[in-house]
Amino acid sequence: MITLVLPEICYIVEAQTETAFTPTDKFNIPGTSGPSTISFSINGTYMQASIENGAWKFVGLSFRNLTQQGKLNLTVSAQDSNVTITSYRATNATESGMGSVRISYLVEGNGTQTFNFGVTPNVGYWSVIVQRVYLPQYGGWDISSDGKVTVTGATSGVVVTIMCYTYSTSYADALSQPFYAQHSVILAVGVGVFAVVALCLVIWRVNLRAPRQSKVPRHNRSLTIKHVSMESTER
Amino acid sequence: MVWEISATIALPIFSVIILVGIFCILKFTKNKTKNVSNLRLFVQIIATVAIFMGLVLGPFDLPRMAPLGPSPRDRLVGAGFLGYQFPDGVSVPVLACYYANGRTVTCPIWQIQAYIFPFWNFPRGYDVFYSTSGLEKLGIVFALVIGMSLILGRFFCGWLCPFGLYMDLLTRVRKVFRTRHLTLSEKTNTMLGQLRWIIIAIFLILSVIFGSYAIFGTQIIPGTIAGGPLGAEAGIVGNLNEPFCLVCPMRPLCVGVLTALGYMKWSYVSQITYGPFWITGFYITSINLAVLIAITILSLAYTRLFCRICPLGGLTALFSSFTPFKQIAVTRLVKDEEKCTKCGICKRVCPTGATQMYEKKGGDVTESRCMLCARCVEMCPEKGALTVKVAGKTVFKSRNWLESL
Repeated sequence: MITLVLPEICYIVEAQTETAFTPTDKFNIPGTSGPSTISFSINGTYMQASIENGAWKFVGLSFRNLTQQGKLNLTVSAQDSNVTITSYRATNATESGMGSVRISYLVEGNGTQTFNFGVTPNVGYWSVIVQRVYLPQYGGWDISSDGKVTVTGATSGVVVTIMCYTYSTSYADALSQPFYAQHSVILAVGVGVFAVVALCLVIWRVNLRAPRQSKVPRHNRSLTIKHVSMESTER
Repeated sequence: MVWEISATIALPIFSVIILVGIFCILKFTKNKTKNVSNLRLFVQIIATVAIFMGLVLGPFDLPRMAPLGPSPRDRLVGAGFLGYQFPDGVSVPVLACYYANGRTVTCPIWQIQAYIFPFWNFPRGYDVFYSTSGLEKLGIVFALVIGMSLILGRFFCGWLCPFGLYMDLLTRVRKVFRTRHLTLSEKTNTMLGQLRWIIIAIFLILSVIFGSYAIFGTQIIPGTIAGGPLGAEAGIVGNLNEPFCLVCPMRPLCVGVLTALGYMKWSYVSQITYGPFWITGFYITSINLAVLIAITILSLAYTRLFCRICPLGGLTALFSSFTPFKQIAVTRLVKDEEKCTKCGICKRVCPTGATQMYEKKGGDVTESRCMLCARCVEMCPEKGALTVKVAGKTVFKSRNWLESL
């Protein structure tokens, strides 16, 4: 008698509670010149929120009625300024199209704000827009290697948008090709132009020799040479 | 329903039409002074169709041009093979306007400007991605233009440019009314020729100023940070980038044709055009509309007027008609001084007012104004006095057409 003993499979689901927030909720950050606050102008939920090293870390952040791919883990901080996050939008990159991550906030006070979406700098192109004007990197904002965007160029009462266009997957593949494959077009064009120039030079040399072997009778040679010399003086 | 004509069906048909057309023109044109002109007109039409192939092949019934969604200019036929390295299409020195549907090649003037500003070292263009740097993209454009100019010179202007076709059609309209064209003085014509270099210098300098942040790290003009579609949100796209395109008459002509064919909505195009002349739009501006109207009116009086100031023609001439390129250029107009009777017909019939084939004493008479249309060769009544040579071989020479009269 064969007895089959089936192991009992247990799925353990860790229950996580979502906490709702509203525009009236303020997340304070202690500072030397008074506390700064983080708030949201939209309703949403998060799974966990904690303050670490002067920055609020939200885990499983979700906004109501906004486009986002999965839940957001956001670390946000402010110094000498208050931040009200007004919108957030995230779309994933596809085979042919780029994705985007975009967050907008209203700032009060002339301070510094930092955001980290967990998106590293090399996966896309980053921009910071203040009142529809693009700020140059290092001249109002900067990004660290771990993806922390620090905005210093925003004045009180303005809306700031931090945006990252993430590359399409095929584009990201193209960037990881070896050197010759990444620059094959200019290499091919360069070789082609070199060949054209070489061919032109050969044709030029052949045509230069041609008049010397011309069928002009010997008694007319002087006339031909005279004409050639006149031509050359004109050039 | 979105549908399109397959290239595998269209291209053989297209090839047969070309061959039959050329045969018919050469065989059945009895007037020897119109043989080449007719052939050239046919080639120009074929070239224009080939350049804007998407208008013929489709896809048709796509959502028409709108601020959002697919736009006609997003269609590139046969240009995708260069991938992310050069996605805007192969540079060919004709006014193959960027702002048109289904083009197979792209205007180098647009590319030169766009790759300096706004897309210098920027990964995203107008609905395309770039994996190459600005310098590399510029290198490809210049290499292609130099290579093509060395082989064919300004043949592109005379035989392939769609805007050249437009001006030639205007000339034919004038001829219907049996009106003689006006002639510019040699001094004015020379000045117009020199204006080309000034135009090239201006758009290059402006592009570099606008692209200064991306190139040198210093933003000379505020708001000129790299990036097109992103820049559009800051309101800079229509106003600053591609400065020559803002005045180029080809752009409104393309937009006009697309609108007439139903590819663009006039309500959208016209919204941007109205207003003070300095307000510029994305697809059409008041300035280049005014330039097109002026060029159209003036071209009824003066033949190939825009070609005399065209910076693209200037660029092609730069790499085919000046030292050291002149010496090794493959396609040339050659004069045999001994056969020339100085009748002056060549000078009178030249559409761009070139004079070297008359004034120079034999040899290579190709000059920067000459677009190798071969009108002078066709009209020259002395057998073999003028010749078009490719790589030293005669492809077309003047004949005594007076004998056949």
